[in-house]
Amino acid sequence: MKKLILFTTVFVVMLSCSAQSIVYDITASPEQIVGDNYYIKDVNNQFSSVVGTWKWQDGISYFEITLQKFEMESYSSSSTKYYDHIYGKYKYVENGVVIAEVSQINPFPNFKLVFSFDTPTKYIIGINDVVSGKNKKGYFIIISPNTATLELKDIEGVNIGGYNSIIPFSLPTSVTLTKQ
Amino acid sequence: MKHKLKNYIKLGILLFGILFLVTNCENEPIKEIHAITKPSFKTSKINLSNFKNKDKVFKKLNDVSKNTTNLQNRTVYDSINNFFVNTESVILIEYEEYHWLTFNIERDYETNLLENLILKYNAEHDTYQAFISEYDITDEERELLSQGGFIPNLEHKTTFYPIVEFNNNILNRPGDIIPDPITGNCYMIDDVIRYTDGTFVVTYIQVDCPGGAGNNSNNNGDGNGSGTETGNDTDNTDTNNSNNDGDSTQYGGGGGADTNDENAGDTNLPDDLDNTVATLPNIDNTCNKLSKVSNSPSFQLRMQELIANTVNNTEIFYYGRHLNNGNMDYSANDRYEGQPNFVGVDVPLPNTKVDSFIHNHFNNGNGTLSVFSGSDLYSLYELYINDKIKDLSKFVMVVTTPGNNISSTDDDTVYAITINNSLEFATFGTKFLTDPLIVDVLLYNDRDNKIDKNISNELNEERFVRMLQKNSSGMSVYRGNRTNLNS
Repeated sequence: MKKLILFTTVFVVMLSCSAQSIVYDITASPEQIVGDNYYIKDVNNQFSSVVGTWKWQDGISYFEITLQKFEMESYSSSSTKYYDHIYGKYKYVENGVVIAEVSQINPFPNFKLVFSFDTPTKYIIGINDVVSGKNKKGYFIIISPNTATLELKDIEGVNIGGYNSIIPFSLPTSVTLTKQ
Repeated sequence: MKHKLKNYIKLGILLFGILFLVTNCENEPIKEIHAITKPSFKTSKINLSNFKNKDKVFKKLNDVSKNTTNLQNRTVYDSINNFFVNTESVILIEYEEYHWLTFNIERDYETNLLENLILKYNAEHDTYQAFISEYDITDEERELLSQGGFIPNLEHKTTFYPIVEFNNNILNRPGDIIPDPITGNCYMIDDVIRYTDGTFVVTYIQVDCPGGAGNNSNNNGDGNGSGTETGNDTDNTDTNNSNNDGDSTQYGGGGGADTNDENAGDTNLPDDLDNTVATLPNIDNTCNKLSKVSNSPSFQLRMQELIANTVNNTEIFYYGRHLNNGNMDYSANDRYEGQPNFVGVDVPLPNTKVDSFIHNHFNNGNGTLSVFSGSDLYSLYELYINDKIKDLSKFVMVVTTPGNNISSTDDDTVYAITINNSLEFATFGTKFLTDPLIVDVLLYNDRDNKIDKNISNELNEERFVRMLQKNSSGMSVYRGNRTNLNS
């Protein structure tokens, strides 16, 4: 038993201290972040104000997004840069008919909905419309603890090949959502 | 009972200790953002045959030595450089997941020179880079070293020579002149500054090669001969490339003194180099590497159209193709225009391979990005993976943007991108450019980059270049002049 406790102790301490990344809060600026070994973390749990399910509803039409926080994500196994990110799924129903749905929340690199922290009440949102294949980018602005606006715009710059379908973007681009 | 209580107290102390350690590990870095980054190196003496990564090391030694003898033997002979290294007595320096191996070099002739073979581990690619280091020290100092003593300022008495590749000159000391075997140009290291976070900044200029040979006389540079290179000595972020023409300055690239300039051959540092050492990569503002493109009549004509359009309401795009006379042609058949008042322009893949694309951004009232957008980079990668780029090393991508001030064109910008390292570009693309949302929303908006249309052009430029640099994108960025497309 003693050995087990000791082993567990050593293991926990090693886990805690082995990867000593510098931790920065998500409010840090790029100029504050130095080196290549860091963790940009939601230190003060600000993501909790957006994580969860948000819904816009008009009769039997609704647009629902569900957001989840993913901690200590890195872009490759060899990278020593880590991030807290928010990814999500969505469902758009128009007059009772499902127009578009992403039923699973996938993190990088297969996400369809991503939120990036800008300020405590403003997030940059990127969304892929699974019907048209098109992407839009915009802002999710929290106007009260349970209310937020979502505005989506086209992405600036050149779009060569891949995602310029003739099918129009099928998701709502300007709605007010309520937290469920 | 007493025994049991004693055990509980012990356990309590132990758990308190764990809690203390865990909370310390988590909280301390937040408070001391700038103070705790000094690397702590662990040094030990090892026998290579017992080293965890010995297969890779022996492979590198094989590559370096071109030797067919059994490398598992005690001594390895480098037939090209004519030296032996002892694999039974190796210094291992470790820092986090990085390490360096230092071997003592023995010659088959008498010499007073102290030399080491250094293998530097590249964690990202799981490979080694090889260097020879020479120590210019006295017999007394050598004796001191052998007794485990310390020589002050040893780094100033040390010269590093890369083996095999030219592009490892980051470890040279100031004043060293390094020839580029590809172009024949020579570069002098101006300064090397190491920061406590492990980042280094190297500045260097093009100089006459020793003996007067080897300079590239076709250089069209304007004489602004500074180059800066940044990287991290624990991570192989050196993006210097052997294809560098030497006729441009670029982050991660070569210097740019013009041999046609009146100062050609002057190895003294130009005045403007005094302030070139900075923590951030400098961006090129000469665009002279792009001279062939910028001198093309078609480029000048189309760019006038794009520049004028930054205050209109569409994005316009042209593919470019080299003509037989070397000029770039942006044909009307290769012109695409976006929808009015909608940012972005949809463009099909070209039928045949291309050499360039140019386009403009505009401000539709919602602000505009003063540098290349993530979608622009995504599109470059789309061309690449669809094999639509004729020669990646010569490809040029240009954007002109209206800047932040929509009522004036004073802060409008012109930027160009070229590929300086195709391998790095491919790796960067695989990671970040397979989906525009990854680059546009995640990478650009992560707090370590934060490239945004709501900040100044200068800050965006700085962050954009740093983002490409930190992620070893293989790309070089150039700033142009809207009123003079030849510069």
